Amino acid sequence: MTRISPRLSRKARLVDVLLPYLLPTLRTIPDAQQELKWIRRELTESETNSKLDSCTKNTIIRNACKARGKGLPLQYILGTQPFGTLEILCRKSVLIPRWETEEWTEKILGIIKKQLIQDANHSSLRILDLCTGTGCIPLYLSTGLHNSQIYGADIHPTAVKLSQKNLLHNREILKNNNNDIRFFQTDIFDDNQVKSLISSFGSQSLDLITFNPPYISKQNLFSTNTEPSVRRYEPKLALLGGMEFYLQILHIALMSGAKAVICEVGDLDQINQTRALVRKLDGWDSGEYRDYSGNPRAVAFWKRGTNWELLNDMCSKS
Amino acid sequence: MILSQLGRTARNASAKYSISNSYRSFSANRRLYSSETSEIKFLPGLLCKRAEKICDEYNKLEKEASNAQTYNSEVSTKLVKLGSIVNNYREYESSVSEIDDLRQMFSDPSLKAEAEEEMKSLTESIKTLVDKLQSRLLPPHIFSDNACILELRPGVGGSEAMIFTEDLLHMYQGYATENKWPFQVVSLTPNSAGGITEAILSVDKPGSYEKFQYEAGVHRVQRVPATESKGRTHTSTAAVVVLPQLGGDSEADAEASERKYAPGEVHIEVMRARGAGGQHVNRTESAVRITHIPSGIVVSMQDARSQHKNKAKAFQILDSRLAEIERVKRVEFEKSKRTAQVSSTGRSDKIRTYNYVQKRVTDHRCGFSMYNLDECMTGKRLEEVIQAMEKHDQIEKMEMLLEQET
Repeated sequence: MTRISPRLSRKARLVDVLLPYLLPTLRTIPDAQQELKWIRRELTESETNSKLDSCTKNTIIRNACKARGKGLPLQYILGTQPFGTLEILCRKSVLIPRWETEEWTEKILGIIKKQLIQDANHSSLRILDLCTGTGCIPLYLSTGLHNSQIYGADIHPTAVKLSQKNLLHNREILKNNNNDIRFFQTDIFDDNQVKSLISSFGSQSLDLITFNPPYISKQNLFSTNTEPSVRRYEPKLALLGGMEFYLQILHIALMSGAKAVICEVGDLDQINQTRALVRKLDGWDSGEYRDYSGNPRAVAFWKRGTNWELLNDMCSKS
Repeated sequence: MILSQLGRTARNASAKYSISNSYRSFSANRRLYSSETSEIKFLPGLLCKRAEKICDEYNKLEKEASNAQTYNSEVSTKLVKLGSIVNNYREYESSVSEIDDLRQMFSDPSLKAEAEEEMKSLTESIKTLVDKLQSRLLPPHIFSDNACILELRPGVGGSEAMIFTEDLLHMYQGYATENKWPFQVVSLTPNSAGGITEAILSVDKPGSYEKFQYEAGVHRVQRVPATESKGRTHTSTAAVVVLPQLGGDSEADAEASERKYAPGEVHIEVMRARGAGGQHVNRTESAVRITHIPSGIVVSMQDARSQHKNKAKAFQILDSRLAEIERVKRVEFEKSKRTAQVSSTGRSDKIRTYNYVQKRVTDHRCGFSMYNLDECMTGKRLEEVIQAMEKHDQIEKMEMLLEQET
């Protein structure tokens, strides 16, 4: 990372004395201003801080700016990240929800709502989210569902605890939907654990599996492709991974009898490899999804002849 | 003295009245809105016709309501709404016919003093009735019940214009506070040298559009800027756009408004993260820009940390802009139908001047001037300017009606 020029630093100080602290991470004055605005707004308006005197508040903000300047993610400083209509709590050692994930989850939510209007038999769904982290995907999906079973699973106990906290944190928004939302600690590479997880859904088969596995390769994590802030502060367990996860999800999909699967990916290669595997299966179709900034972001596959063919709507035509 | 004057005008009025058979056609041909209280103010003919139509409709509805077996809330609310107009109009009619009786009393010298007294109170009551009826019978603005969004942008004048834009924002915030209306600054782009380059203020009170609608246009300021070293007076401008708020701010509405557009009609862009995105980046990239392709309108929003919220707000503003364009088109169309030329109320020219040297605010559309600039700029006495514009607008609408009639 290149050094901030004294000239830019001086210019930033004229705008706001706290801006130079933020520059090493944010690089430009407008970006730094934007984050400083959020830091000020959220730290001074939070319930615990609003009663403090202005001197203490200023110290809190100054320390937050210093930490942010060293690369600590804004979401860990403020403790939250908006995800659709929800506010998701963020803690160190659990991956921060990304806007790309928010975007495809919102698309799925739209498809589910459309499908519900068409077919009254599908008003209750069984959805499983693996590598759930903060629990953002199942929680957001449950805002559009009623009387459904929505389970999340993660290998790390801290993540499971945090997702349960998030369920409590958003209970006001979710209280009228009458969904059964639960979080489990599961290692998805252990077939016995996965079987017991699936059996907790009861006799009926799964509708949808959502999946946001770690997908950054080792050489990518230590290259300029990945932000230093991600490398230094977010858990490696939630970042480092590759094709073994997509192979395993195919295995789980067949084992559980799920009708459709959607997985977030890091690059086009992962999409192509996964789709090549799906093509070998009988009765399955697949598609790729690109996010708003044009990056390949997810791969979806579904059983032919089910309602989930609707997933094709969100996939790019190729 | 005053009494005799009153008597004379009353005689005048009744003389005219006797010439024309119907006071309706008489009042229609008269200048209607004189400011002098001594003259009798009649309701213009077209409005009388409209009132009569409403009376008919009211009677019909009343019959319907009494015949119907079940209670219909829609009909009953309409009845209540029309009822107040009908009552006012009936009162007005009886007052006007009383004038006729009074006229006969004038011929009797013993009753003349009493008649004059009577005339005076009658003139007063007719005036209040006509005012009430006028505001009710004139076609209402289609967005008059909506909440509104104000967009402020500096015009010519560099950083002075940006500072003035900020002053205007404070004025509107002050005005909203004065009226106890909830408001929030949706988007604000400060300029590093002072002032603002863009601000969007959302006033979330239903009906606030009615008050703020006259603010749309170019505002001019004449003052010695803080940045001026030689003491010269500068003239700068700022533009204000007033948009109606359609629907609420809630998430369901946001989704619905997104679905309203055909696929491909709206192009959504997010701030493009460099490189791979996804798990590789944890920067908050919540800025959203939407482009409405048929009209070329671009709305960008980056105030909130939530992309979802930014998108919802951007769609809300796009909706409002399109609705406003639609309204302006309709107004232009109606204007073009009129044969007589009308002084422009469009946004083509400056609408108001704030002269700091003379401490004066002048609205160029209605010619209203006020010498309490400071109190106007805090929003405390902006109401007076707005009221002057309301009156002006009403007069203009009536002129339009009269032209249609003749």
